[in-house]
Amino acid sequence: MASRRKLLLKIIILGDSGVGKTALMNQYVNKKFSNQYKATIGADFLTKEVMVDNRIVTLQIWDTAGQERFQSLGVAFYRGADGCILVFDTTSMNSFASLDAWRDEFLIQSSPKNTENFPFVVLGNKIDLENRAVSTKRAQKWCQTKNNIPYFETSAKEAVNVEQAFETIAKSAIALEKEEIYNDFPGDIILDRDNKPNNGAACNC
Amino acid sequence: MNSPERETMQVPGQPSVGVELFSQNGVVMRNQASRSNEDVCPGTLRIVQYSSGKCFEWHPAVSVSSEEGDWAVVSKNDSNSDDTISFDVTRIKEYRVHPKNKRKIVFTLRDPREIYGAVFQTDSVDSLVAYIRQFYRTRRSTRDHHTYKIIEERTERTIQKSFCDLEFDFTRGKSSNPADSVRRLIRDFRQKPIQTALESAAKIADLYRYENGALSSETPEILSHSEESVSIADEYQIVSPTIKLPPREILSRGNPLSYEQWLQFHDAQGRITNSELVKKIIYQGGISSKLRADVWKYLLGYLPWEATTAEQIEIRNSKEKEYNRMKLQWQMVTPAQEARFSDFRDRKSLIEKDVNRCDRSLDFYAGENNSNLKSLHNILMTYIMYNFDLGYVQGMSDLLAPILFIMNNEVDAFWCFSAFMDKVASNFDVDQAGSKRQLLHLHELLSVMDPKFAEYLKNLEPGYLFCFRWLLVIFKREFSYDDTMTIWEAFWTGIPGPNFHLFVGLAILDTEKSAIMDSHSNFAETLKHINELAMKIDVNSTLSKADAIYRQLLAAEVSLPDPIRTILGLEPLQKEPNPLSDSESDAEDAPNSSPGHCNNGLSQSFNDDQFDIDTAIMLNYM
Repeated sequence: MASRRKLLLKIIILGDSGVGKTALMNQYVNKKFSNQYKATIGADFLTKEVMVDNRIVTLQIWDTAGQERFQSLGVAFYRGADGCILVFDTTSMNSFASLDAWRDEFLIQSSPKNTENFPFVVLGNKIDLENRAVSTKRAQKWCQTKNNIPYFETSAKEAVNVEQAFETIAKSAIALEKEEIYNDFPGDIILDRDNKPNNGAACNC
Repeated sequence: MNSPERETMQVPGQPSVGVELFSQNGVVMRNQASRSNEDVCPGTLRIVQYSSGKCFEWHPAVSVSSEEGDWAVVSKNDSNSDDTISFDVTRIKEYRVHPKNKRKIVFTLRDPREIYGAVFQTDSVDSLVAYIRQFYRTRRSTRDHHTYKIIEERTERTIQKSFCDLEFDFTRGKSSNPADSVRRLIRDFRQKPIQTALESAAKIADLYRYENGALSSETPEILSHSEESVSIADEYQIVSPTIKLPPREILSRGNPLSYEQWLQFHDAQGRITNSELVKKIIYQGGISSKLRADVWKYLLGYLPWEATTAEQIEIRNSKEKEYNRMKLQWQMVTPAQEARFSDFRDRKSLIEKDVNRCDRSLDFYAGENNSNLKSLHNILMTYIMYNFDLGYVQGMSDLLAPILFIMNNEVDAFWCFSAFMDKVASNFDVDQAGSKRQLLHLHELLSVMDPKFAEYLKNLEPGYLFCFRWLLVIFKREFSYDDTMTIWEAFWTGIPGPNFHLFVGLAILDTEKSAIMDSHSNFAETLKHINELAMKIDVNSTLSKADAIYRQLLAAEVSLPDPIRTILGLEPLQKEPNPLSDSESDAEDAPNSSPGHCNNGLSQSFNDDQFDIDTAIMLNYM
């Protein structure tokens, strides 16, 4: 089916300072990598139009400052997010350990309707570097315990898995979007199959 | 989202029959909370009375059938479109009529994810508003004069209540002592006579209107003639008397402080003879680049203007010792100690990350093993020892890098940097209180300069946050190195009070006003626009405009409220706290002010209930 209307998906990239959030965003949108990214101050976003399931979807990808000090500010930007990309640096155990806090903070602050199925992906970035500190197995295990969040090992520098990771978050966000269209009608909605739309579209992971 | 009782009333295939109470064609409506760029076609907005209550319903005129999957959606009106909007009136928290465009109305539901904006293509929304007010008791929001909260459905009793609310009729006010009511009324009349009179009149008119259908023809005229600032179209809004500003001057920048001038300001012992004049020259024209290393030390207070050459050497020596002592402190921390000192480790790691990505495109900081990067690192690490409480916060490396570039010496750069930090420390508060306050001040200043634009920006959720980067690093990310330094020099002179950077912000906003307002930019678009201005702003015209705006406000000094006077660095007229400020907003103020804060004790609201931090920058999101 052709796209009925344009869809805008707001995707937030979160993770510790210096894990490569800005680099991942730029690699995905502009297919470029620079060694000279500065620390992000405040927030910025880039948009990219993609075709997902035969629909034109505009991804609005938000990049915010990673330092804990500015977390209270980032929260202002979480509002209305349709998906969240959690990033850690595979060479930094601390950045991996922070994932829990980033995920929790995001869920509390953005309070999505469906906390259980809210679209996340986890990216272990900088796999081009040699001094690896977080094993694939460990990262996968964490993702499994969080309702099977899809996990990708990426290199923003060498464009490894970046496209796939963003595609995945776009798809899960759309899946949730569809589910919400059915669930969200105020007033009286009669669904002709059964009355439990929640069962219809669980997560795709 | 369905309310349970409604669901049970619904029998599949048998939509309940409702009575249409209101209907308007040519209405575009969408949920603003979920999407921002959907294409929505016009449709019909209705209010329908069902047995369970009144319901807002909107259907697109061209029915788009839903073909998604095999779910069939059956709504009350047999519309199969999933573009339909429908909600109970009781779920509306508040509505807001656009102050300038009377064809726009926004309904905020109790669920914050549902904010429905409606645009009437042909008529004003007055008929709809009149309808709502006829059946629901509403109260104007104290935060925004265009927003009305739905209180309850009107019954005979609520009509009585409205009368009591007027506090006019002492015999009816059962709950309060008549004497108190009189006192309260007299107090209100004394403190804000026009407002009290007009509000009361407006309330009577309101009552009259829903009881008798319409205002008598002369009433609006009487009200509109009684005071210029009252606008019937704005639902009796009392606009604070607009502060009349004189025309803005067109100024041009002066020449930078030259070597010859600088020499002339030295006396035989090396003292600077007329520091005020030096500052004035710098404020108007900057400093020629070769002199910066020398003049900045005075401008930042590292060296006193009145120090003789001999005293300067002495000060320099003692500062060097002090720096080296603090530097040694962190250098002495062994790896074993570090392993047990996570706070130190975290700060060190943040500094390393930021030093590695600080202005690397500049030759001075480019390349591997650059000794200037090492100095940058050393100074920031030493600053941790100098100011344990603050530590290192992102943005500080941006403030240091140009200083080190100019000083080319660790000790001098450290002390100039720490003096700069003293001026802007509140930017780096843990709770962001300093940044929030500055964003509020920016809004307050803009409200005097350009109330319409200020109102527009305030309503962008989350408000003025798109200016955050400007203020955090004093425009370092928006201008080239050289231009940034020119702005900083002007800021350091302290000539237009402690907040010259806010005037620079106002100047840029003023220049970008039409780009933002004419395209009806939302928050994201505004942020994008502002971020993309980086390296494209002309520094000289911006600084001249900033100065012109400052002078414009200064010329209207006597009519400025105290909070604005304080932002300008003027003495407040009234020493006492503003009796009109409400106690709520005081509670918002950060309790843990650091010494770097300026404008402490500034009342957050300056004209009755118009402003508080929340509305200016949507504090609840921060």
